[in-house]
Amino acid sequence: MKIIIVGQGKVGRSIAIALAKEKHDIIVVEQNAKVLSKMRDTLDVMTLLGNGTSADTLIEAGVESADLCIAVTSSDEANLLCCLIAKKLGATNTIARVRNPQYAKDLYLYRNELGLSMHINPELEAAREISKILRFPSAIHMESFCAGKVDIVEGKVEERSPLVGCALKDLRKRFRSNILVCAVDRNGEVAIPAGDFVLQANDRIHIIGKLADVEHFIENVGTLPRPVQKVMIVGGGKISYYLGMDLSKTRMQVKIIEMNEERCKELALALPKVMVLEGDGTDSDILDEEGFKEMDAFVALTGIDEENIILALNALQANVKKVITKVNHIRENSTLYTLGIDTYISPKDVTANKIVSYVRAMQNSFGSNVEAMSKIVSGKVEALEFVVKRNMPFINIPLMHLKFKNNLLIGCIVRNGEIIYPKGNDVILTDDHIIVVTTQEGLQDVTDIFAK
Amino acid sequence: MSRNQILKVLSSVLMVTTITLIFPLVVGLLYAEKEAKVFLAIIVSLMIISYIFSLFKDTDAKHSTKSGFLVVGLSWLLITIIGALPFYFSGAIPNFFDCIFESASGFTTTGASILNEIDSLPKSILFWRAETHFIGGLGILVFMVALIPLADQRNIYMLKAEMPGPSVGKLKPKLRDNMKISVITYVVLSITMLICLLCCRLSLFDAITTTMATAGTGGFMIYNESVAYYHSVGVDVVCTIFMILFGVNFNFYFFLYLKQWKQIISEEVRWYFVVIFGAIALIIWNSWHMFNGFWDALHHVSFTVASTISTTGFVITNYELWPAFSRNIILLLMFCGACGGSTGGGIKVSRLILMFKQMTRDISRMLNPRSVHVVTMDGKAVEEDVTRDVYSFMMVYVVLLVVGTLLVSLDGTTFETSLTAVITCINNVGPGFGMVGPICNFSGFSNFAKMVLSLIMLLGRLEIFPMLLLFSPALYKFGK
Repeated sequence: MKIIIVGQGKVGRSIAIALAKEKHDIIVVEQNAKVLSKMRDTLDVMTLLGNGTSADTLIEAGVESADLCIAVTSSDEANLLCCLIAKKLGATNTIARVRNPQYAKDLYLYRNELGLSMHINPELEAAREISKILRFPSAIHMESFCAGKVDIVEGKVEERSPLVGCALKDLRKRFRSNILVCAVDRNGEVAIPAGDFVLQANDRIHIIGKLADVEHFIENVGTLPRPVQKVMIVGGGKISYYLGMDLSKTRMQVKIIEMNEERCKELALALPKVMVLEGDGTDSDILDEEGFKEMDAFVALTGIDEENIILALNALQANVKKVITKVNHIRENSTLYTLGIDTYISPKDVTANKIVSYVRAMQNSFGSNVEAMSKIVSGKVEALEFVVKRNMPFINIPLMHLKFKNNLLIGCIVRNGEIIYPKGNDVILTDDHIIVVTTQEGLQDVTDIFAK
Repeated sequence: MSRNQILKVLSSVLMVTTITLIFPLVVGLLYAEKEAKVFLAIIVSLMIISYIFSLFKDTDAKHSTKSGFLVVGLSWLLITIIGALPFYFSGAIPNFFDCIFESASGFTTTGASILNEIDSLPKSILFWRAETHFIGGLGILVFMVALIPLADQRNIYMLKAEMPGPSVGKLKPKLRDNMKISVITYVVLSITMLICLLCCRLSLFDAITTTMATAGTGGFMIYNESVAYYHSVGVDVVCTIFMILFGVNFNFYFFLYLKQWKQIISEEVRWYFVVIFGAIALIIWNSWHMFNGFWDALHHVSFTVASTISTTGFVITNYELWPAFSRNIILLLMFCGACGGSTGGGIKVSRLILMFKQMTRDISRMLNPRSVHVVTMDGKAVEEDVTRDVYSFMMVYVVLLVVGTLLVSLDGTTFETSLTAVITCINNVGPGFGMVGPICNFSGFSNFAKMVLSLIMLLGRLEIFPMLLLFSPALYKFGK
């Protein structure tokens, strides 16, 4: 597909990297020549120097034949304008980054009247991700498939957990639960495990199943912490605002610490249920005073990565159960894991993932049939949802007779809303949704999962 | 950068080059020459070697700028050596240094030869000489990227080093598609030329070898007298036109195909034609008395100008007999060279334009220190980095000329001979002046001078830096 990306900030770059990997024809438009020359040297994309909100530049980028135009400059207005022009000039689909919550309310207008296909708000996405984690604290990370019927939940095997030394094929019997471990990250090495794989302490496992089943399993294993009731958030930026909004709907008690007085007032006005505190969140006296140690969860959302990491380390030291860190600049990085910071959120990666899955879904309408895609295990593993269409050659053949690609596993089959954890004699039927977990990148079609 | 990865690319280069050796093998078989056996033996043994190389495990390491340069430099050294093998083992050229020179001259599309007797060589060897031009014109890695999908998409570094011109622009988002466009343009132009030559009643073998030599802007012919052998105005005209066409930036043809008339006549192409017509007019005016009338003058002068500016090096007339002014213009054309993004050599028209613009800017800055000028090309601002690269290129270029001339003059040749030999080699033209003039060749040099000149040809073809960096200790110091 031909994709134009306007604006090459953090998010733009992440998107370009992710989409270039998927072998799309990418044209990036940016006003800063230095940024462009770096792009040109490191990625197989075409670069164009110019203002993405001017029709001339977009025409030069070939917008009339573009399948998608993504506007991710720093300005909401420019993004909307760019998408508007691109649509008028003939781009099939447009995506704009819109951060300002005030515009977000008017987006239904843009969608219908201006033909905007999708808008994305990195801060909102990040806040949603954090809120999901807080509601389900035993997970490090989770992803939903099949309209929420199936989830992939990432968890860590604790030192004293009964899981240590347990082979995967015995899990279901031993803990009487219906789940499947679909990927294991052991010190940065990722495995798509077979039945005889034996778990060790500190493995990060990815469990696929119905959320209730997964909860049941974790309960049986006996490492479920009590639900989060008290949350402390340091930093009162946009993510904090969205997160506060989201958490206000739950029974959690939320404290936000923010330095800027004006911002505190804004937040207090917008979030009546949240306790907003004015003060320096990096000051340990203030943290102690506000009951830092009694918190169930701690979220570091300041604008500086280093500060967030130090704050998270402090919280871990104080034995806070769930610590979430926001990082902006640091790329996928195992150093954070070794420090114990296993839950971190990077808004740009969350955004890039969303856009990549949108692009895949778009491709779906012209031939490929990936319904949804998520990257798990720090982007090293892909979980893909396929719909099986009629007349596929593998239909009704027991799985044990099919030859799959290496490092690939069918996580589950969803048939008429029922979840099947596949065994050797199960079969795939027409209209089944199957979820495939693999380290192979760029699968486009359900037939791609078989070895050639 | 990992050693295995470099070996992997080199093994692909070896493989592709070996495959190209099949064509002279076929020619040898068709003419029932004993050299066919030599080609067969070389192909089989190289295949085995490249298979062994390909067994190395590929690693995940990515190509960096450094490994890109290294791979290009090493690839060209490798193909030069492979190219020399048929000459040596067939006994066509007994001295191995001569073989290397001939091969380097072929792949770099210089067309300078050490052979005194070309007519008597076997057809398969003549075919191989011409084919080296065809491969070298576009560059071995361009062919490779267009033909074989490489695992790593970050090959831009390698191609940057191989593609001539100050900067590599993209016409399509994907590198591979760009390379395909280049290869298709190249092949279509070549086939057109082949048909034109066949219409001029050349035999198929002659037409193919002449086409390949012109396409790469090389200059190897299969007769001692070069193109003059045919005594055919038709052949001369076809060669003149296609030499000029192969020297045009290939983007020109892409825009022509897309019918984007606005973008076609870029500043570079415009100046390229201005220089050509200007040079023809000046030479005709200056050496009018040498020719019988206007058409004779136009015929000889335009051929020689086209042959020189496109850095082909075909000869139909001995330009050394022309007056000094005309000869100097020819010498200047050697420096000028063709457009960037073509198969021609030399400094490149676009570089000269940029340098000239930068120079006028700097001069006007001295007069008005506060004035701000931006160097533009085709109405777009040129990044400072590019103009700086042009300056450093020119600097190193001059240093190489000086050092090269000094080393070659150890042979005791005249100043004119040693200087123009280096000039003609670094610009990939072919003939120079004096002992290396249009009716002479390079056989008179010592082995040492031949090696120096071979290296200079490679430096010139790869626009100096990829080759020069092979000799830089910093390349080997970190991150082996």
